[in-house]
Amino acid sequence: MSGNTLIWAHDDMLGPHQPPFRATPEAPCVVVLDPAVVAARLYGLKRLVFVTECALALPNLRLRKGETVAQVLAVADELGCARVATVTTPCPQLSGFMDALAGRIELERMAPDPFVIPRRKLDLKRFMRFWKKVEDVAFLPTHRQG
Amino acid sequence: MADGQRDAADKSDPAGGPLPARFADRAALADFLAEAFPEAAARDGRLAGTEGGRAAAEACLAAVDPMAYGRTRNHLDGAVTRLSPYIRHGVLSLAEVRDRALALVDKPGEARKLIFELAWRDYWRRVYAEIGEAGVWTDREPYKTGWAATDYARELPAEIPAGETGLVCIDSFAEELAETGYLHNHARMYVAAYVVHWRRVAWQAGAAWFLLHLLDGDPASNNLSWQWVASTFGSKPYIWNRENLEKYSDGRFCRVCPHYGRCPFEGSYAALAAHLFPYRGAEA
Ligand SMILES: Cc1cc2nc3c(=O)[nH]c(=O)nc-3n(C[C@H](O)[C@H](O)[C@H](O)COP(=O)(O)OP(=O)(O)OC[C@H]3O[C@@H](n4cnc5c(N)ncnc54)[C@H](O)[C@@H]3O)c2cc1C
Repeated sequence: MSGNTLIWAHDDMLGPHQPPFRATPEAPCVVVLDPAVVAARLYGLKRLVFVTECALALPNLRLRKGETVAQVLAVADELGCARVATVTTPCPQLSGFMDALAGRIELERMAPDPFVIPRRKLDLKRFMRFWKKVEDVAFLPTHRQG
Repeated sequence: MADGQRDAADKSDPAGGPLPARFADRAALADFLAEAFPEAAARDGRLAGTEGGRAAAEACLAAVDPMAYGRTRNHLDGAVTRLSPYIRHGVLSLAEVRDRALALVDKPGEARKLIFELAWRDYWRRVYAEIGEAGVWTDREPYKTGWAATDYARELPAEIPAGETGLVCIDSFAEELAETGYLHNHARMYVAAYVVHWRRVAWQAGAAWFLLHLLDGDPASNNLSWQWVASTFGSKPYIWNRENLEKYSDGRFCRVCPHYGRCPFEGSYAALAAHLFPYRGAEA
């Protein structure tokens, strides 16, 4: 399976313990430094250096510059990968890239590791309302969540 | 830049394509990125000391002390973790940090403060997932300051990011932000309150300034925290006074400030609120 998978590690998942890396540890991975993301997120040089250092520490990395979707597809093509795996994010720009990719190649969107798996319906109106609903599970280690 | 890297850069298509995956050192990486992304370098051309990557993140995680954190986190020199850039970019997960904190204490309650703060980030992310990019840039609610949104200036006065207000505390924080890409949470609150309530500048202008410099800059935690300070996502505006700053900084700014004793942060909370929010009704 991993021989066939390319991990697209975007800005919100630049760590080697993210779910796709655990699922396919041998898989190549691509990080794209996309001028559209750099502009939208207002990155300056110090941020760009930090982000790139995180990327450079990832296993089996292909670092690219350019438009995210085109670059991910180009690397998948180059390496003969029929499938891309990534992690979902609330960032609409990155989610938009995922939607565009999904129309072009098989895309697996994995959930990030949750901080809490709430046992009650959440109320996001104010932090303290949220906290009251998750306080019991927030103090449980990950293996006791869920 | 080493010759090999120069070759790789020259051969790469300026519109996009492969970049080298190895650099001789940090300076070579920074030079390369400044050339490849001139707009980013023009926005902010400085470098911060904080190193990216999992090894650096693990070193930072290994130094976490949840009990000391609980006792001292409000102090500017307190035992805060500085994990935020790694968490922001998914190099570490909130769950991993929580699990590590729990492993270091006898009873989960001893890690309470740290886990509580981690939950703030989870909360802001969940709100962001619901309201989206446009949502985090829009006032969630009206200001509770007695001022209308239109009373707030849209632009940040240049002397604030330049560190030239003459107020030693605010100028020091501005310099630290630009220099390191990091500010302690309390310093972020002090600066945000100064921008929004003392200078009556719309929180969006301050939020954009922070995003330009923070290594942990995040549309959820940053913008929604600015809104919390401003009172557009909270029930009242956050303000502070000189006494509070002195307590949590051991007076290091005030001691050398020419405005000491007559600075804009002088006075009780009630007196400052009455001065800053003259049109607000009686305190709820
Ligand atoms: C005006 C303003 C802007 C902010 N902008 C950002 C931002 O862009 N990105 C960001 O990650 N945080 C932001 N924060 C929240 C907080 O200040 C930082 O997360 C914290 O200071 C980072 O330093 P630390 O890692 O040493 O934190 P610690 O106190 O050691 O906390 C550990 C971790 O918990 C999380 N955390 C702690 N406090 C908060 C909080 N109040 N809100 C959300 N998460 C928290 C962070 O992930 C942090 O790394 C902002 C706060 C304010 C008041």
